[in-house]
Amino acid sequence: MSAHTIAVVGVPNVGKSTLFNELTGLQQRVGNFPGVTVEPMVGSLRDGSTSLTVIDLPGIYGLTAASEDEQLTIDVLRGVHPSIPRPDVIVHVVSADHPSKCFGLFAELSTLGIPMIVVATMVDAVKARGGVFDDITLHHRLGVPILPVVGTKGLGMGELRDALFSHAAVTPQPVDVGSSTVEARAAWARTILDDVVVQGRADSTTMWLDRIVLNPVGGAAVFMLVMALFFQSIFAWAQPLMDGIDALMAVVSDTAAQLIGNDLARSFVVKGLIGGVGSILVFLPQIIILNVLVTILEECGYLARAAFLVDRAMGVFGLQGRSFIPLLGSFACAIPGIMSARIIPSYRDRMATIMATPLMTCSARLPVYTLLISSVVPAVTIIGGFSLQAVVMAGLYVLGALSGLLVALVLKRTMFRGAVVPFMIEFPPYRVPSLRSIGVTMIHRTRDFITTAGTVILAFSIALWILTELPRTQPDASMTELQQQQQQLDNSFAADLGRTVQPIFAPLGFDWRITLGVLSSYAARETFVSAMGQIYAADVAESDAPLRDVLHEQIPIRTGLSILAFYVFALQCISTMAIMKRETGSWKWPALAFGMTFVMAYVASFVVYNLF
Amino acid sequence: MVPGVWCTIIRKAPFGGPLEVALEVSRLGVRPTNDLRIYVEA
Repeated sequence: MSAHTIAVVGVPNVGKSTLFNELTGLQQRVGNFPGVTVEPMVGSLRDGSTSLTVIDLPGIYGLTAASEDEQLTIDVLRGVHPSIPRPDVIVHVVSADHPSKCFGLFAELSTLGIPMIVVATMVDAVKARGGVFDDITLHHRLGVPILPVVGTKGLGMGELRDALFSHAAVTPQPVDVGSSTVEARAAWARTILDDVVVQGRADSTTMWLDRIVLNPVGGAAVFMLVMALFFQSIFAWAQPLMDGIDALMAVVSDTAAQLIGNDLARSFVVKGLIGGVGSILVFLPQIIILNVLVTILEECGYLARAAFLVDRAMGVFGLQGRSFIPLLGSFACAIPGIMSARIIPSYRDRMATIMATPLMTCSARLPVYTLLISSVVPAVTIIGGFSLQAVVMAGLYVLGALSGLLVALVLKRTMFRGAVVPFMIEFPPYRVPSLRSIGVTMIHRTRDFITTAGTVILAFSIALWILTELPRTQPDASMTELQQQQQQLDNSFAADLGRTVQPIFAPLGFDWRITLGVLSSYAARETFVSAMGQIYAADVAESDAPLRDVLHEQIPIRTGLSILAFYVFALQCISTMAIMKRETGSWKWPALAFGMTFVMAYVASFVVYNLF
Repeated sequence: MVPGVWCTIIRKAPFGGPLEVALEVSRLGVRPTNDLRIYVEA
């Protein structure tokens, strides 16, 4: 037999992805979370000139799908998937630590007529607790090779490689369990396990920790503490790194500006290319920190517990407990938030969550809010000693979060309506996170972001440069540099565009200059501040204070509040749209999110402008 | 978890959330729905 394609199959959270990483050396995420492999990963296994393709498939409990991810695996195994070939060999991964949930699947897989090897993981955990896993008896009962491995330590991997290259896989006899029901398969599995497994002592550490972590009072306190740490670290820890990247890009820009003599070429390289690359790189610290934190929470086993604790609250908005992490992460940046939605196995819940993430108040909105609030909201104290400016700021955060959750609720009741996927999540035992897995996640996600979102961001950055820097205006030597930039902007295609489009925004109280500022921030929100600085020719390089004073003089309070209302809802971030396309596989969803949030922003802004 | 299986309810999540149940050596968080009901024997 010539085996070319090998599928790694098993129920969720038995160590399939760990095995896949060890086997192929591919950089793929490994998570201690049921259903973490939500898209198939493909790797290769080489021995001299012979190469095998290995596919890591989403976990399944049987050949009847309960979710889109499970359907994908079943389609591949049945040979009806349009792009993934039917495997020549199945590596069925079972957990020696939790065998009762694994062997019902073997009965189903045996009916497919595909050669199999059974790999038993976590054998070390069973033995450490005084238990027994008898792989020889299991081999005689099932009639296929049984290979005990410890994936996290690489033990047994050599034997598995040898078995795959020597075509040791055997097509099992179809298991006749008496009927096709789940109960019959479970009963058959129990008869197998009675002869094979002796359970040792219970995992007392996990039980002790869960008494605190899942306790209604203690668990809520731990949850709040973990989330506070999570939130704080994304904001506080990323900032020095982001400042460092900004400073580095400034040095690169200055150097390039000195080296390039031609005005147009210098502007293109400094503002179009280096500015574009900088706007990509500046997101990396937040993405890396968020992904490291999510991976640690997954691998140590806490994420499943957190999803359990908040499931009820998220259920009010049609979502499930797992949706909480992407939405929380989106307060730092929607990009890693959308990427972390991969942990949601239900397609509908995942899509509703992704569509809600742009409405969470990301850190890029903060400079816009700070500038506008300090410009147009009076610095007075209101009832209770609270600053009115602080209350408005908090109100904008609450408004964004509530609108996102309501959007999710509406989408779940309309576009993503369907049968409710029962929330059932296994609590894995607590484990010390693997540094290798954390490193792999960091590299994988970073590479993913740079190669997919990065290219789109750079393209839009260049397009924005063309709009704002062309046609070139002869600079007036008597003007300051900032005044020259204002003169250039006044005569650019972007200014023409601003004046042309302004009538659309007139009902919101926007003049052509505000319209231009808003339009320019469609690449990234934070560019609003620098764009307004250029447009109003105020020195924003040293401090926001002069710009704040200028805006205070020139923008009426109701127009300022109208702009704020617009920014609460509008999806003004090309990076977010690019990553949304990457995660949903289509431009349809980012286009819908863009249109939906634009309408929400326009209506809110119109209402606010006419209310005050 | 198959129909008719016996499990032990360990605790309930705060604010009327899902149940934590023990099933042999596995422990699960489960939100009962129309398709997934848990009957409690007094």
